[in-house]
Amino acid sequence: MSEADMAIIKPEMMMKSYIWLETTDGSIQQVEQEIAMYCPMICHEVLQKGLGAGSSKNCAISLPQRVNPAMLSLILDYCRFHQVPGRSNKERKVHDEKFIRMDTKRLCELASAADSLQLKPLVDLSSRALARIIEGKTPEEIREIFHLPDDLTEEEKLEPLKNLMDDPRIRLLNRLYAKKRKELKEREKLKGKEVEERVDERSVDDLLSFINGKDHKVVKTSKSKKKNKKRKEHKNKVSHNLHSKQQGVQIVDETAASLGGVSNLPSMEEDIFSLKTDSEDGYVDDGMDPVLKEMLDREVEDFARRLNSSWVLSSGQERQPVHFSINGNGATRRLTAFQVMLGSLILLMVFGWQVPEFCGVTVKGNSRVRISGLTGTEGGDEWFDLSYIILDEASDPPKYDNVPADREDLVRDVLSSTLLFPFELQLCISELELL
Amino acid sequence: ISISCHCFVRNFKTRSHIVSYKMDLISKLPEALLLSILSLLPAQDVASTMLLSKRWRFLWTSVPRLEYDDSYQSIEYGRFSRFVDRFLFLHEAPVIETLHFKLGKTCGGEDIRVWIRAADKFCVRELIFEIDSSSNDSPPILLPSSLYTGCRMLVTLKLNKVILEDTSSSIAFPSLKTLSLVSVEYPGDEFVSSLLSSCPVLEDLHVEQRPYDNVTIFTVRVPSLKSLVLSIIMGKGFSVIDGFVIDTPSLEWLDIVDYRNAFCIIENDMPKIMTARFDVNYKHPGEILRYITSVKRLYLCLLLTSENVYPSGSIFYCLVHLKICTCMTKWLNLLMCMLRDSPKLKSLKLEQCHILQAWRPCWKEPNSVPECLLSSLEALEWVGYEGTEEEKEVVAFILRSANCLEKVSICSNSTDPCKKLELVKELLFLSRCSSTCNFIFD
Repeated sequence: MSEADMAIIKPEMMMKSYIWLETTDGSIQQVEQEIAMYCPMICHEVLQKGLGAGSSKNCAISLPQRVNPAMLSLILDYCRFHQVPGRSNKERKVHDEKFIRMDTKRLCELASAADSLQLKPLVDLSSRALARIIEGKTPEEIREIFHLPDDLTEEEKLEPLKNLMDDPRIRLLNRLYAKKRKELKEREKLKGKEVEERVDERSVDDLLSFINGKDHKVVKTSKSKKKNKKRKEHKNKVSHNLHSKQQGVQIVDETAASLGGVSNLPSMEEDIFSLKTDSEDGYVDDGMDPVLKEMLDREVEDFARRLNSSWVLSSGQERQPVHFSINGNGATRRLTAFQVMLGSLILLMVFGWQVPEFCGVTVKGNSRVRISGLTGTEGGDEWFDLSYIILDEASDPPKYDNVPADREDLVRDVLSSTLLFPFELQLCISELELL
Repeated sequence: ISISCHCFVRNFKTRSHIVSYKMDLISKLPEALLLSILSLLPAQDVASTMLLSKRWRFLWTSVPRLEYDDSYQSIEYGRFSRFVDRFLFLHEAPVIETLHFKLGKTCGGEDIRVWIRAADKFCVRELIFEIDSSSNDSPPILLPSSLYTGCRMLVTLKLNKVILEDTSSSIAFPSLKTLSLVSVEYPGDEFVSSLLSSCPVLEDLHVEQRPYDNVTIFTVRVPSLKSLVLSIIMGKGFSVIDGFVIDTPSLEWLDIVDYRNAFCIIENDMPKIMTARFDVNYKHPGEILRYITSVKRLYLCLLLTSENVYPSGSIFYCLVHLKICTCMTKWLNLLMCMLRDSPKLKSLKLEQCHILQAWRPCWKEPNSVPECLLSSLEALEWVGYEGTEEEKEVVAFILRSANCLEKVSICSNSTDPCKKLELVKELLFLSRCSSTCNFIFD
């Protein structure tokens, strides 16, 4: 606004010129012109509408909805102080610090009102104050302070990713896990009757009781999920089970934790074997029931997603193990298929190795890992297969051999990187073989 | 802060949450405003807002300015690096404006490589790497060369206490406008030259050199540069052959603080210079003053070893504000020379910025009154006035010679009110040439 404009608007009658402002509740007040013009929005209105705007009660300038009378008076106080040109920076800062001390409710209203009036310095001031309030607090504290509704379901709280179901990588993972299951099954046949003896009856019952579907069964600290009926059938009792067995060992994401959890797992494997031997008929085959397949796929998806996605939610807290509830209403057929599922997935974790970190687990030891993946290049997606053996996982970078020469860089990248980017390297585990 | 429990409104949704009557105001703020509030928070707090409520669940993925601090809430490094990786992976905004990394713990070079790649993907405009080397066990952090070739959209780059890696491939920062290199270790002199010459639109350069950074002569040859701030963090490890070479014809702001026994060569005239500040120990300060004769505001604290500050003939025709530090022994010489050579000077400020050197100068009445005193000087300000002989003489001289003087402001260091009164009395009794002079004493 220029001095000339202000001079034109000034009514001749008064020494001081006033502008009339109307808030949405209908109340009209008179404000000194210089002070009101400090707000860009008011200034803009006055200039745009020409002479006479705001100069009397009848044609008062109507303020945006977010400015209520209380906030208006606060804002005008702020403007009254700052529009005086002679103040030093230090004075302004001291004033601002005192000015901004108010309860959070008023602070939010002030930020909103200042934003609608486009008074940037005040918006910045109140934003900084709000940020200071939020900083360093836990979500519960923040919800208390700002009266936020605690309307996230448990499931939502634990699933920071959205739409990952649609992600092509997850579908890929599904297919790969299916192949994997098949192969593991074959190996199990060869493996061992001897393992059968170590059946732990009690834990089988435990598993069965989950499987038989006590609705909303709560295990330790997990809570039931209510949403997302699509995935209702068998939520990963895998992880659920693991959780119950492992007493909060974090199977996902934390290498160290996984290592620690390994020692518990052999007991699991016994259970699995016992389950598996029961589950001949429900075995997942290529020609299996599509419904079943879909359910299994979903489970795998879920599992993979949880592996991939559960990460630091808050740095200060212990990471909560992933919780699932069971809305089980599994038929027997599903039961057995599920058991296979359970078994095969558990086997991923078991035997002292895990899968590379980018999928949530790491490979260690003398294991051969076959990785097939999808890589996006400018031209389109390209499949490739890598096969290599990790000889010494402790060395950095890890040693591996049997990698086709042109893929070596990729493998090295994968092993050293814990990050997946779209259109770079997207790998999933296809098969794991034991030596 | 306590939840107000004495009034409930039953929420008639199926979930039957009980909601306090107090409204959730903050979630009703416009999204842009919420994002700018979240931009002020460290990244760990930003991520934890996803748990607050439905409104906030995905808000965090659009925050445009992110600050990752690995010392915040003492998070262990492995978790921190995974957190950063996944945060960047899940981020949904097409462009992140600012990525600010504050690293202090053991930082893997691989991590930084990945993060720089992420910065490139998100077209980050401002990238800041700040290393906290206060703890002894943190190894120096080497920035990979992908930084030079990868980030084409960078507008601002700030590096603090990092080590730059040499690269044979060409460096390119086509959009870089602001570059800040503080306490950085370079591969060598040529690297600095090639780095700076690969920034075609660079406008702002801030360099703080530290000892043992592998650079002897820091060459700044940037035609587009508008603002240059050079300073040296003192310490052992500098030699007499260290120095600066400056070739910046578009420069408007120059600020050099250099207490080494070094040199500074300016290779080109700087016709656009507006403000210059020299707080230096160079042997031939006149050599640099010669190139900034168009300057409007000047601050000098020069170590003088001879009478002539600069080859006479350098007249500062545009100089309006002059500030001289009174710590040096020969500051009086400098003052008189500058007054003589600044015909349009309007404001003179004398300030005691550093500890006074032991030897104080003696006042010598000049042969002729400088022109600026007669016709243009309007304000005199003295901060750190002590009332010594030569200081009194200076004030007396100016007061009796300056015709146009309007405002004199003297601030004393002493806290003793008697002493202050003395000083005031002395000053007030000085004869004043100008009749409209306002005297302010603090």
